[in-house]
Amino acid sequence: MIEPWYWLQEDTSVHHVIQATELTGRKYPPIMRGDCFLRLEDTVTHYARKEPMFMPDFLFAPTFMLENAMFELWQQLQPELRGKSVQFFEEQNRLDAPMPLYWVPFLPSEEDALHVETKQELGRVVTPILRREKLANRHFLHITLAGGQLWLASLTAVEAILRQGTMGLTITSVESR
Amino acid sequence: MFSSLEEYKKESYDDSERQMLQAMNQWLGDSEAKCRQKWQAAMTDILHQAAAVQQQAKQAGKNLPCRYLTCSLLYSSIYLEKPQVRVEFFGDEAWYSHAPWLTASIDVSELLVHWTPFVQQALAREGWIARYYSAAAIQRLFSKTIEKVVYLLTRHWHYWARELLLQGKLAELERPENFELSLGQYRGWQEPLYRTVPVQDIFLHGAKSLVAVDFRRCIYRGREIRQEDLTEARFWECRWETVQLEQVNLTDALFVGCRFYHVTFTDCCLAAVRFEDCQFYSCTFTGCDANPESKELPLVRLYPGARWQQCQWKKCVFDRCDLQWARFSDDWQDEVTLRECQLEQAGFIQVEQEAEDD
Repeated sequence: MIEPWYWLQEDTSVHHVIQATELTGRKYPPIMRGDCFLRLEDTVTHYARKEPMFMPDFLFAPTFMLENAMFELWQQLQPELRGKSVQFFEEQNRLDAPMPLYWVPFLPSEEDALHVETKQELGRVVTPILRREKLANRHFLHITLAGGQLWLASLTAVEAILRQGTMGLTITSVESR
Repeated sequence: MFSSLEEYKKESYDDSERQMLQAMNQWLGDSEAKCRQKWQAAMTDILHQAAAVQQQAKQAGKNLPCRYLTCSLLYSSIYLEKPQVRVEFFGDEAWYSHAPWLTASIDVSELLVHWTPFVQQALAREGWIARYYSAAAIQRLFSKTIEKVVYLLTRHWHYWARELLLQGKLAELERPENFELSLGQYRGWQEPLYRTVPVQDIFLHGAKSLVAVDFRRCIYRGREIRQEDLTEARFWECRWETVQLEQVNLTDALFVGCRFYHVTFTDCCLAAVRFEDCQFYSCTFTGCDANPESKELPLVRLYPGARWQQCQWKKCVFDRCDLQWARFSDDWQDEVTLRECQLEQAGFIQVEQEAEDD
């Protein structure tokens, strides 16, 4: 019996989000394809401390990233998930400044998990519909398309994420056929 | 003016949360008739469905028992403003590695009556220095609040599950010995609402627990039962003759169709006990505590008052008992003597009124 699935998207109401000063869009593109991910290494970056500043569990710029505890949760649910770390330091190296650790997660893209009746426009999905046979025994799906990428999660994953008191994410129910 | 989430939580959110939970607890208790009936009716339909699936499997030569029946209040459903409880039936294999053989949903959108105003109040900008306000940051606090709502539900559903049991609704479901009906988080913690455990002898159980054990048609004659923990134990058509129960924990115990002759209950805990269709002849309750708010009870639990429902009495005595919040539905005034008992909030309900409440 297949669980319900959800599309994970950015919560655009979140402002004053921590921003890396040295992650380039070329190396950390919005659509993280396999070849880009393979070229990544664990890295260090800096941020300019501001008041207020939030460090949400999910970052969507320059690319999709997960805060460390969230990444560990994702890996527990789907051990084959890979990641490259991004360690943030405050640019003036103040001792009392937070030093959050984020990860760029990766799963090979599975475009064929989208049902043929999925509505797409200009290489982006408008309303994803998933193929049920692709959803068994897993909790996350990563799909890269010409115009964007999607991260989708099972009910088990979404419930675990929400129980942690998540910030930076919205969820939308997705049909599967 | 708030400039941090910690400050906001301490000075505003915690109070709002407490008020919401108190109101919800009151509503779940007071409006039992409405939401309880609706949710129990939904669960009854689901149980019928499950029994039909089991029957079909049997006809196809397969065995499909239900070892675990889990109910999960979905956090996602609350965030999407359509609260629901996901009901799942699991067989007797290690259930985390196997999918349920049946799933269903119970619409619990009535919870929004309390949840929505709470959220609106929590997300109000008043009191915040504008640039520090973040709805997304405040929403981070909701997960812990929802967990408390789930726990509150478990306490009420525990007694609603008992109603389902008494109405025989669980009987048609084929269940193995260690069956468990639970409510909690989806693939997270689950609080047992009702469970069946291996049969034990009340005297010869050794060190084995008597909690939640079913005792059917037992006869106890001329014995003493001392300092036993019979929490959630269920006695069906048992006969007690000249038995002395002393310092026995009968919290949440259930007695249905039992007969008590010359039985003494001394210093027993009777919180949330329920006697249904029982007969008491020349019985004495001395120093018993049926107060659901007793300090002796676990702080993290909520209990209703003890209930003596459709019982018959003859020459019985309650001596120095705490019967606060107890409910009696019988005309016992001529047959029962009360000596120095505490009776605040106790209810002597007429049978007709009780039928309406049920």
